[in-house]
Amino acid sequence: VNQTWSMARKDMLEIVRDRRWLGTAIIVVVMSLAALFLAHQRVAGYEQDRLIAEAQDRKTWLNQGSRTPHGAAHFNTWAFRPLTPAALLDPGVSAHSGSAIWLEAHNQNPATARAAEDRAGSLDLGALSISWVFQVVVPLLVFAVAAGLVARDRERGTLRLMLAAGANARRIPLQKAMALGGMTLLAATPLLAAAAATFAMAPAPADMDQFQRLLLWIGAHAIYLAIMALVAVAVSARAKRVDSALVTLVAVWLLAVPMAPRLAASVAEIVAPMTTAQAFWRGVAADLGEAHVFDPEDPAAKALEKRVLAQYGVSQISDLPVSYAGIQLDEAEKHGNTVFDRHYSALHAQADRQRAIMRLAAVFSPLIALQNISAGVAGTDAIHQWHFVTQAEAHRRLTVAQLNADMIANAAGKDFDYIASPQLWASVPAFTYDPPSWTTLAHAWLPDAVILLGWLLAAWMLVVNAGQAMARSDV
Amino acid sequence: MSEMLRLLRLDAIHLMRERVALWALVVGLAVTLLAVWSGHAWLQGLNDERVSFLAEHDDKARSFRETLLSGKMTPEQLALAPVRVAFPLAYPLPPLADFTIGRSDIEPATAVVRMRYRSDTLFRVYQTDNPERLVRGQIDMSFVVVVVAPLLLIALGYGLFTGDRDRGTAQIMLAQAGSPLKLLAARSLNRLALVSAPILAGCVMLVALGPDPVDRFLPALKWIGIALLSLVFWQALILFVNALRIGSEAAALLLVGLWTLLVFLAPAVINAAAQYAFPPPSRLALIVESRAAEVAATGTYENDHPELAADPSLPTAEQYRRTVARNIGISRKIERRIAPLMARFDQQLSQQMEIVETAQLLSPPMTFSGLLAGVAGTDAKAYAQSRRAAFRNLADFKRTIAVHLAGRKDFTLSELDALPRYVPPPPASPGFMPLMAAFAFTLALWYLAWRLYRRTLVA
Repeated sequence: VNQTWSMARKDMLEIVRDRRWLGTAIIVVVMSLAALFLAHQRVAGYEQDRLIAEAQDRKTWLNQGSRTPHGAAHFNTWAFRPLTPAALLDPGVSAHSGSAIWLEAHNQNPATARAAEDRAGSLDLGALSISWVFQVVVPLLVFAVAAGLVARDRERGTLRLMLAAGANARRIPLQKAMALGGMTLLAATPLLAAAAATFAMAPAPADMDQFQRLLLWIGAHAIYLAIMALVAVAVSARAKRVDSALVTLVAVWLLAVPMAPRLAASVAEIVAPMTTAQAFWRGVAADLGEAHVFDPEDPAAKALEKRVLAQYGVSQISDLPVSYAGIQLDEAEKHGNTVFDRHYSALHAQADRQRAIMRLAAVFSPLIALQNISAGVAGTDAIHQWHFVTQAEAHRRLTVAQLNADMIANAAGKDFDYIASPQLWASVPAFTYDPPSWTTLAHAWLPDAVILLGWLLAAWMLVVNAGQAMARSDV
Repeated sequence: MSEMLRLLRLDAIHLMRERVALWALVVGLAVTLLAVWSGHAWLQGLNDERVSFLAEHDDKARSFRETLLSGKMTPEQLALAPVRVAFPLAYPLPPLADFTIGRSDIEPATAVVRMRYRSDTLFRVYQTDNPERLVRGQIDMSFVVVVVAPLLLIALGYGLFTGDRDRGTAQIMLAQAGSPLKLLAARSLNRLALVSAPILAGCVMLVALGPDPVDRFLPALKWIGIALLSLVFWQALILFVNALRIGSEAAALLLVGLWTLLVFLAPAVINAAAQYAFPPPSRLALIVESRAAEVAATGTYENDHPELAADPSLPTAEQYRRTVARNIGISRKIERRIAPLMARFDQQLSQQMEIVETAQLLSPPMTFSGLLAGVAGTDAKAYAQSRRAAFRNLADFKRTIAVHLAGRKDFTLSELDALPRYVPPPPASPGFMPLMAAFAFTLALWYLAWRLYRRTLVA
């Protein structure tokens, strides 16, 4: 063990003396700090806008004056998604998923205000973020430094000398991997400290759940970088020359980092395409039209009338002690809810299918699994978005039901002419999103954690195998 | 000429014996095939969606027109006609969305123009895509040209001359009677051909498989020209690095470093800087502004159920007519209130585009990527132009309806037919300056490399 450590220390010293390592470390540090600064600006700016928007929207709702409950239900309110401190780590899908939902009567609207639409960049291969630096840039730099770790010794003939001096061939790749891991950790430590500091300075206070998310994020990225370091050493140990090791590693990086996620997305869209927006809304409209309680000829309307008259023991609508229009609205809303549940569930199932297909590409790259975990622990993945959408929709239904109930109770004989007082608006609670703890949604990325650990094991075996091959053959 | 052909043939034989060349060919073919598959499916999907949207809404518009023509509309229906009339608006299909998917996967391209809608609500219900897929992007021919092909060229060419230097064969090469510059030119041409061949084949397949091959031929030719220029730029860079007095390991590292810097780091930094320098106003602020304006201007039902917002002392048709007029007034008030914010969105996006266009000259791959998207019609500029045209159409549509309402007459067939339809803006041609800059940069690199070689080889 002592020999392993001393060899690893020697290699670390060699890496430090290599100016390329210093250069790459400086690039990584500068880019990461810039990414953290931009993320902080983005999240803080968004949160400031959100709080102002929420307050103003509530004020508008409360001060809308006397009007009909159904008019108010149409106008209703908006749900704005908050960003937690963990969002600083990884923007995830937030730029593409929308952050605001209009909670209006009759309609379950999709989330709108997608930041991606307000960008006019070019050659967008990923937004600058601390996750992007660790997932895309750092592996390439690790590969560039690692390409020569064993291959250079072989090329110069020093590997033969090392073995003649009694070094264990089986252990050499492992020692090199330890040296590389140590140096990567050395370069990453100030960045992780900066990430933690930025996290602590986030606009919303970070609770225990958020700190646990930070630790998980660090852990997942540490495993990912360890995989990359092990793969790099294994390739270097098998290469005859440094340049061929470098080219092989760049090819591995090309496949694993920029290509695999895109390949996965392309295949997912071809194999299991999402329903287009038009088809989706066409389907919703067709199903909503199946039962029209306001059309006296519609069987659903006839059935409702019969049921309500029987319930109140009267023979005609005008004798009802409640607003029949309010009951019709409530019934239409319930019918709408079942239609929206069906269609949105189908859409959600399609997204799940695409996620499963994209996950299959983890065979080519651990990055896909890491991206799922990273966005998951940052609270910016599609699962967290769906959690927000579900809570917002529950609030919409609650609000509309409350306004309809008021109309049913108070609008007898007036129906749509009934005017409610502003007290009714005050009795409707404001929407407050309750973000889930990481444990609640961890099941979504547990398969990814297993895949990542599988990759770690495979990479370890590659290094062990490379050591055995070195011991067997003439170096 | 015959010497050059002989060199090309000999080098080609030598190249095909190398494993890396075979790998480059296999990777190039595999990625191109995937890009063709993905791009073709994408364009097909866009086309199908557009066609079905237009068919559905044209049917509705035709049915409305026929009802109006039949004279069977009641006075009440006629009064409400201005709020019921709706025209489909669909951007033309980007000519080469299968080559460069670009922004076609996030930009809405269809909407329904009707009196109730405003510029902030025209594109209202389209966000049903899977954000996980969107954020990962897709493989298209642009990705192959800008990201994959340069790496293949680097893998094939990092030892173009440095390899000879490392092995000591450079001296032997110089001692030969033939021109070493011609040999380097032959090696470069063969490597360019190896990488370009799958791309050219992919482009031909896409044109042949896609709609309107005749109409798309010229844009495709332009696209291929830019793609080839991009590859020539990388080959010039490879030659330049080979001309430096360094070994093949250092050359490989330098080239990979330059590739990372130009393809990954510079674009990420430039895009982030543009967004930081010119952030768009808050979408959330736009939402609350429009709502505050709406609630201040609205009494009861005008904006959701105009048929319910009635004054019972008047005949029903007149009630409706007045409600519709009020509706127009409300819409105008909201538009006026949010106009500064909407203008700021447009201004900030234009500024972002401008800064990206200027700064991308620092990264030729970014320039090439922008040019390819420009020819494909899927860049930010093309969508901004289409969006502006859509907003203009909506404003004209509402203005014409307002003129009709001021006349206080029933809605007629001639008025319906006179309503303005969406006219797409002419397709924007890619910027001349970026193209010239990319060309000049490539030429300068070739010249520098040539001079360095002349000096090295003569020395």
